[in-house]
Amino acid sequence: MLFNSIDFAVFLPIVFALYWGIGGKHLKFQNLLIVAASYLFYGWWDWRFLFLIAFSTIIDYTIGLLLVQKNNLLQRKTLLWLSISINLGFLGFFKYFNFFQENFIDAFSFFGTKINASSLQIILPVGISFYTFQTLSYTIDIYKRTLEPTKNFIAFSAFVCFFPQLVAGPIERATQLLPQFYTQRTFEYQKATDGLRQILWGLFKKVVIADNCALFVNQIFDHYDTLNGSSLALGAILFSFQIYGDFSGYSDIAIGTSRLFGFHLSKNFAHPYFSRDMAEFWRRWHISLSTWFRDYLYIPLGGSRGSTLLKIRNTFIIFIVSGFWHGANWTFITWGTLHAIFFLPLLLTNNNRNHISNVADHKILPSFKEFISIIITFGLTSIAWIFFRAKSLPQAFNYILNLFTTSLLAPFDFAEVPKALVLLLLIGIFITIEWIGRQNEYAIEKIGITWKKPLRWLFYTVVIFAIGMFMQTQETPFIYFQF
Amino acid sequence: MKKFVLSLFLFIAVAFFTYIGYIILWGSFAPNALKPNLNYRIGSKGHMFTRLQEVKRIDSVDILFLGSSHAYRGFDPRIFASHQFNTFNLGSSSQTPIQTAILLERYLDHIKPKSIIYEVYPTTFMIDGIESSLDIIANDRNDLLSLKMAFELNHLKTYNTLIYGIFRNLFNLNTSFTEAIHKKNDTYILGGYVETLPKKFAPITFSKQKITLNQNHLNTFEAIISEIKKGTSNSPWFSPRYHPAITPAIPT
Repeated sequence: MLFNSIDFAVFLPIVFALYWGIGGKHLKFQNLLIVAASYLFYGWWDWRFLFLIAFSTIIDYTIGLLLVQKNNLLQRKTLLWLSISINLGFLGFFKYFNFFQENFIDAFSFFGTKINASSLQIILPVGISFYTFQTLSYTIDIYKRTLEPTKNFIAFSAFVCFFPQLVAGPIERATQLLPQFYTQRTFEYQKATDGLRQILWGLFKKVVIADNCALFVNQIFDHYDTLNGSSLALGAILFSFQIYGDFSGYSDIAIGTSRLFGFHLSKNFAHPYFSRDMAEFWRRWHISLSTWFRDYLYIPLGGSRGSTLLKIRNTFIIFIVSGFWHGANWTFITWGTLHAIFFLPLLLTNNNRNHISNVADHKILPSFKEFISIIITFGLTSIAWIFFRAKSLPQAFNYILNLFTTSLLAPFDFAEVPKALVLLLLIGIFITIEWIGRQNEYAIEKIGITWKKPLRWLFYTVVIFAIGMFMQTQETPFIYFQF
Repeated sequence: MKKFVLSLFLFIAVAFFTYIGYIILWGSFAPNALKPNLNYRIGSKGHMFTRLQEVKRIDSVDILFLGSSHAYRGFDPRIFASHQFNTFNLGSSSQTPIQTAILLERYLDHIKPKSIIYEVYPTTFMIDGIESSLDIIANDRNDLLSLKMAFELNHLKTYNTLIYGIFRNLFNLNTSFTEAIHKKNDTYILGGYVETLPKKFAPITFSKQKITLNQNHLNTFEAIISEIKKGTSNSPWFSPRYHPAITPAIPT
């Protein structure tokens, strides 16, 4: 079920009414309802893959309980690796089987050996990368003794399949989310209205910004070999906004929906395009995944401690794995590698923590230096996104070669330029609102909060009207569903 | 909780009415480029406005034509008139069965055709019908049938345009509108026909494609055929021929 669908618009109020109708005192039934609703939400797409989630839930629940009973290190390690193997095994099979098979065959062909093998038609279960990482964090934390396993199976099931964040995150840690399923939730007016506000903003980002950008991005990337440099530059910029609007919009809707049910999810985006360097960008982009890799991969590998060579190795590993997590394609691996290359100079010169606070804190505008830094960071990010969006490496490289030509300064030469200019106007308004709200959890969190109710409501109705007037009317799936 | 639910319902009501207000204001003052989901096209291509003005003045015809631009640009009433057939062409751009049904409900009893020629082709059952709905909303007076059409199509652009169309109808803002008979290469001919100046024919190559028919359109089409059969069953003209692709869905 898509957040931007009529189905969800019907589903959400029904589940909300049932959930609060049960009442906070009947915690078990509320959790049971969440599990049932989440399975329905997921099964709406393909019910067959519900078995995967159920299996993953049972395995990790059982291993969690066994881990705490065992004191023998070897037994504990075996259990941990069993959980890792099963979870990553499913992920590997569904997501990476064909990739490895194709590359294996290509490698042998290169050395003159021809292997005949037919690819399997594997459907990638939506959100498998997200819930796999979420359940993995549970067993790893129990193994590290930073988390007590739960005996409450329903609560654990609800933690694994919680519908707002099941298919595209934020990837929650058991330490953060699981306890919320044990404690009584009480309805809070402020939380609920705040949730609705965040849903509204997320929807705007998705259906107005991302989906409109997608129209031009698809057109430009599909015909990149016939377009001039300026059009290709615009295509890359629009894709940067498409993926941000799409993914952060999803996160906003997920977080907002959770708030309606009395849950608090982690912040996943913190206005990343206002970052002054790549290190800051990675502290602000897909935070739940970045911190997952930091805690469960980068730090165990030694992190930034140790020799320069070790730092370089670890940086490349984390970024390449991050790229590979996104998809079984060399384009994603190259995207990750590029980010490692952008990030490494900052790490090696100890400049990776220069920008911890918000840009232009308590000021209206950034300084000239900050502005230039933001533009450079955004430019580098956009170049890397070309690899992320391209279908193949040759396409990405040719796109970049065609981009950096003298035609970069020529007028756009793709179809429907006036419509693109309207979109740029919308993006301009969007950036302005994001800038105004950059200190907050999400851009419109505090906008109008001190205004009188009629004025505040007027503002929300303007956002609703903007959605109604400018949204892409074709229902478009979220990009991150494929990951 | 009670406060939240009450507040939410109140907000929905306020948002509903302010949305209508914004649509009216935006529709009236914003340039077309800033109205992607509001497409009020009175007097647009195809002379629909003039055709619908004329149909109101007609009380009976021998033959009524229905269908897409193929119909209103294809069946010339002058040729039929030369054979003593009084005809009217109620085709509209990209007309799908949903719009055909609306037009028939509005005008069939009034026109009282002896025969009907209904032009369809695969695309009729493949397209969403939005373009044609906007054509009818902008060029005809809106009523409950318009609302029914909007609900059937369930498309934001149709809803927005209908809101604006109803506003214009309520305040009679279209009464002074007149459509030019000659527009670029098109000339309106009495009887609903649009004559187009011949251009050099550029051959089009068609690639083989898989056709997915919209079941909703097919159902409406079946209902239309059934209604027409009831009313014109004695007509020697009415002997429908169906494309094999859609035959299985049509009651014979």
